[in-house]
Amino acid sequence: MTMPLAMPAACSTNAFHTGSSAGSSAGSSAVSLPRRAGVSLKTEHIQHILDTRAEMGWFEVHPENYMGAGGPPHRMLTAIREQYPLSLHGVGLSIGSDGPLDQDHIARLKALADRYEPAQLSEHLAWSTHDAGYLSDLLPLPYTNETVATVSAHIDEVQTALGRTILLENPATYVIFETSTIDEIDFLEEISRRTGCGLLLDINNVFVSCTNHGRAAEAYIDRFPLHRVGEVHLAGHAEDKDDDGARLLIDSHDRAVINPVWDLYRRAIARAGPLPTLIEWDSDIPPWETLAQEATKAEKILQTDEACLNSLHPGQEAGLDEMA
Amino acid sequence: MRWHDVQAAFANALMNPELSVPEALRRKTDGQPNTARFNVYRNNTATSLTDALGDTYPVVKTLVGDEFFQALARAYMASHLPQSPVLIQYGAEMADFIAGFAAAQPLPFLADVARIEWAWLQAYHGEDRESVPVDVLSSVPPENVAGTRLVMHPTLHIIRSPWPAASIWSAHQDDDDEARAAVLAGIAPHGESVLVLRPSLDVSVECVTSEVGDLVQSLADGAELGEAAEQLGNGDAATFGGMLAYIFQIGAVTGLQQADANS
Repeated sequence: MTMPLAMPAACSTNAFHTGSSAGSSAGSSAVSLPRRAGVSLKTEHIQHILDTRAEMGWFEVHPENYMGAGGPPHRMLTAIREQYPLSLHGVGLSIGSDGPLDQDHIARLKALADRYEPAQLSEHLAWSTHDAGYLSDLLPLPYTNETVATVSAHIDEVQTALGRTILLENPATYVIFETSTIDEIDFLEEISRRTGCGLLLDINNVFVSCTNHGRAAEAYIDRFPLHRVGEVHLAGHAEDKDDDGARLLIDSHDRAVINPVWDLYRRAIARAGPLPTLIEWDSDIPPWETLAQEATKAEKILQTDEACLNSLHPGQEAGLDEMA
Repeated sequence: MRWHDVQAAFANALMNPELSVPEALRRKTDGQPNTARFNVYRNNTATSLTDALGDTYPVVKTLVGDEFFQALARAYMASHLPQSPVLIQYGAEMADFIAGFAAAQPLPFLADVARIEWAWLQAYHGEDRESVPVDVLSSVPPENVAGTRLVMHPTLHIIRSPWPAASIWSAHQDDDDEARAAVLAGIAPHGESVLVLRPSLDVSVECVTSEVGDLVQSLADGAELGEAAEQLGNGDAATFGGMLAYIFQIGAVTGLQQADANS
């Protein structure tokens, strides 16, 4: 008996009507959102989205913004959740910290996940809390055997508490620890292997970090374990200079995605097939139309022939090689 | 060096700009720190927390201007880092901090404006609970009314200011510059009592007489209706009834409790 092969939503001729069911059977197990474009959900846009039943594959929010007891934020998120798939993208777990995780915060996250049943839940390879308090930034860590163990233990703890796997996002970094002994991709892959967590590939972060550290972004994308990726992020960044006058890119999420990042995205999608893709825009929020246009641009790339061809053989790159 | 120690050094340098970049981040080649790069993190932390405080205290920010607010926010965060990543709860002690902030002394009403803004945010994110109408009192046998307590709405906050803090706050709820200027020009030390609550979808900010403010405070503190009427003093039953009806009308009451039920 042969199993019917499900077409990924993005390639279906009527994708807009069938694409909202999470968990297409094609592709890696890390994918639980529709293989379509989504955007960050911003308070400024919610009424318009609900009033016009705006066309969008899915929405993502920072759970920390919905950790009040009640009120309009929950009312609005409930209304959105009734019509669209939802992703919770945390910024507060401080998974890269040496110290213990904040149990109250895990409990708040669990309560929110139980309430909204999001299709996806993700966090960052970073730390944000230390003894004195919450430092409100995604701070970097060295990649060593010690930190592989620490981060893996923290992810195990979170996944056990939540009763589900999460995605871990590659960071945008401005400094390098001279004490690192493991390459970033190997580090992420090892954590994914140990904990079963999926990965979130932020292509703007790849561009920012590779530019800041003088590395080739294309090589990073080509080597990334795409079969473990459950979601892709695209965003805009700002540009500055460091002490030596070298280009220093800053992951600002306050403007449109630039062409070199779109090129890297095409490169990743051509290899992986369609993946759920977020346009991440968190400050200097544009009009809804601008954000929706960015999402349409991503959606078009998801629907290219090459992306769809690859999606028919999900996670089977090695298999294809054997057949050739 | 263990990650524990490197992380402590990183956090310390992050919050103390006079410290140099942690050793673990210096270039192996020449041992030089790249301060501009480390400063991206310092700047992100300071900007993000300043923005969070600005979102919570928009009227305070308008009253003092961006530059002053930034200095105020940086001074606040130096002694009051958030204790959780839930930034909608950051800034609880700002009003008291402003009251003790020397540079803010020329604006003696500023701390109470901050109290209203904090109460507004707490009400906005607070628990959803249905209010009850004043009619519920008619279900209480007349002999038990004096011994009844009101269960106040969980989002209710009472602010009693020696300044017209609510008028100043209200004048900043739209972009009417003339109205703002008029209020600010006429500021005199006359007190206002303010009730902040969210009975359903929207937060209400009610400017009330000091008698109503005192009455709500006393009811919220658990006074029985008989006691509360007595505290009001002048023995005018009609006035007390009117105030009570008003308190119900704004949605401040969610239920009744018989005093002897708990004693």
